[in-house]
Amino acid sequence: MISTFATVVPLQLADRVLISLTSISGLILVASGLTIIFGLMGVLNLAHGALMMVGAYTAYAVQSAGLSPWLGIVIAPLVVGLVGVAMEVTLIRRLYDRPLDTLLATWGIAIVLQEAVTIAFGTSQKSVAPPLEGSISLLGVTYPAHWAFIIVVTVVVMAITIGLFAYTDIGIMALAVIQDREMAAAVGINTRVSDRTTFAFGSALAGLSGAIMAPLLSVNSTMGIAWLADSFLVVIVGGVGTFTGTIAGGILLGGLDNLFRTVISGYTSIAQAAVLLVALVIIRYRPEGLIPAAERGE
Amino acid sequence: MAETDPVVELKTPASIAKFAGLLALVALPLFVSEYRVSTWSTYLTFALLALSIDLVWGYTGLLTLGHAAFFGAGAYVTAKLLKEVPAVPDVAVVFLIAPALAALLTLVLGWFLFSADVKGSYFAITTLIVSIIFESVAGEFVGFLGGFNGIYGIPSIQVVGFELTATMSYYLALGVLVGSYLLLRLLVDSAFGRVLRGIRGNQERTEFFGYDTQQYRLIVFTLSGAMAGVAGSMYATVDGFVSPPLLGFVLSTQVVIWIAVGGRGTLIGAVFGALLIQYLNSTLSDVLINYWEMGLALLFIAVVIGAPRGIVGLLSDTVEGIQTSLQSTKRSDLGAGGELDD
Repeated sequence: MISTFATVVPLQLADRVLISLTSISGLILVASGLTIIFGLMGVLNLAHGALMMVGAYTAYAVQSAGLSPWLGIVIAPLVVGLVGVAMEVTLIRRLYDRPLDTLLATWGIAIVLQEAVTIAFGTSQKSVAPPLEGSISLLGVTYPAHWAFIIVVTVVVMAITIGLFAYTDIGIMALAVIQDREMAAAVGINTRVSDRTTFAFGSALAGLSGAIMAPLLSVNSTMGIAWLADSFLVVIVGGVGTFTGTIAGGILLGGLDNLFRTVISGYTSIAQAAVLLVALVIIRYRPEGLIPAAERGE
Repeated sequence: MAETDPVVELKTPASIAKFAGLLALVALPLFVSEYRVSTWSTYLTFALLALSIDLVWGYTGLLTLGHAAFFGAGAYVTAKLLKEVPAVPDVAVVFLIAPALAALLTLVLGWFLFSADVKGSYFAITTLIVSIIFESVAGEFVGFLGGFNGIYGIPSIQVVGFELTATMSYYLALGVLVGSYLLLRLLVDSAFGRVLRGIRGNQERTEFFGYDTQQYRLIVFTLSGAMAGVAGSMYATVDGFVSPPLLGFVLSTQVVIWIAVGGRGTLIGAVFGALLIQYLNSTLSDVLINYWEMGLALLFIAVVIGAPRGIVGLLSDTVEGIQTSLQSTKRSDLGAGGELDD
């Protein structure tokens, strides 16, 4: 889980706390889009990691065109949001009542996106520069500014998303469509538009997370796979269908990852496997997740 | 395969097609080089893996994304024993120890998941996790399992001190595949198979009729694991090299694509899809490189959306359509595919 964060060897407790905070934030950020698409809409989107990867490549493309890294962060969610619209229009809307088939179809999409990026950019690793260079001092530790930026973005994104779904008409209509499509249609909500908007929003979040995380990662066409598994675990372990669950899942799994990595130092894969094992046990004994969604069907 | 198939006599177009396919596979070593024969042997072992997954996914409705873990476990234990413990007879390793280990793993995992009634998408995701765990752990054991470099130089199988040639290994793999196919054919056509389809269609209803679906799922999952273990073991003896990706979820998902394209819930579709796509993979990927992968993914998506029962399903529907106009045929046995999933 998030093996690329191991670049800095933690020396002090403050270091470790800050590194953990960043990796937890990154995990929550990447999982947030999946919370909407899988958690709320019930679409088993195995293309989530690939969408994130497309976001990272968009950031790379913008930078290699000589434009500001900030622009990449703005354009990535737009590009990936459009990919999401295309996915919804052509495929996903046909499969809302066939959940396991959405899993297969989106895995197909993931391969298509992966190969498209390989054709366009080749197989070599790309690196993306962070928009914020330099470092800041926090708790007496020098800390890369971009790492702090990730924490800030995650907090802002989660606040906006929760606010959107809890307090705005669009968000509440989207929830109504998700819970009962027929009933929502009966009271005059355009379910087609609502589904598409929700899916596009979730995709855009995947794109945004890809662009923001890109500077910390080695960007390549298969980078999405590891993040796909991680995001699904965060959403399921946290509790499908709740944003607070995603936050809890991110804190638990990201925290455990950092802990195991410190305790079992030198055996990164074993530490990762240990986290996955814990996730497996949680899914087994607490299938509704840490923070279950209130009164929702399967 | 129809010739020995007790269920289907050689008179329907489907059985003629199966028989022709079997003849082609039997004749294959006469027409290709010894190197290609070995390649086709690995195709056959992957087809066996596909067959084992189709029993769980196609017939019982449990989409497993973790079967590569059991395939790989069979391959690894074979690699270790054949290289380092020559005292154990090879045949015992391939047909006893490898399947026993894989069956044990599936039994434990199956018990763990089914006793909590983990199913549907949760089953798919948890089995996927198992594959990822196996792959990363195997990569970490550098001394014992060769780490990311894997284990190479695995000898080919010996039977009573006599080393099998590439062609003999091919026929062994073909024989095991055909035998497993016939075994599963009998199984899914039996009363047991009807219960499996019942679980696929509606698990609660099947339970309501008094069937212990947890036990049925556990038996099927374990049997399928054993079969995947044999497949992995034979793969190791044919290819001579095992590495962590054999345990990983990329392989698991590839096999699922083969089955979906071939036709899930038909058994023969799994074999057909596995052989066809692997063959195309090796011939087209050199020419078309990434475009082939993308084309395959697009085909896969089209099949999932438009033909949930894959190529075999489409063909049999067409043939049946013609036949129905001539006589009324019994359709009850054809799996309804994706419509009933979940």
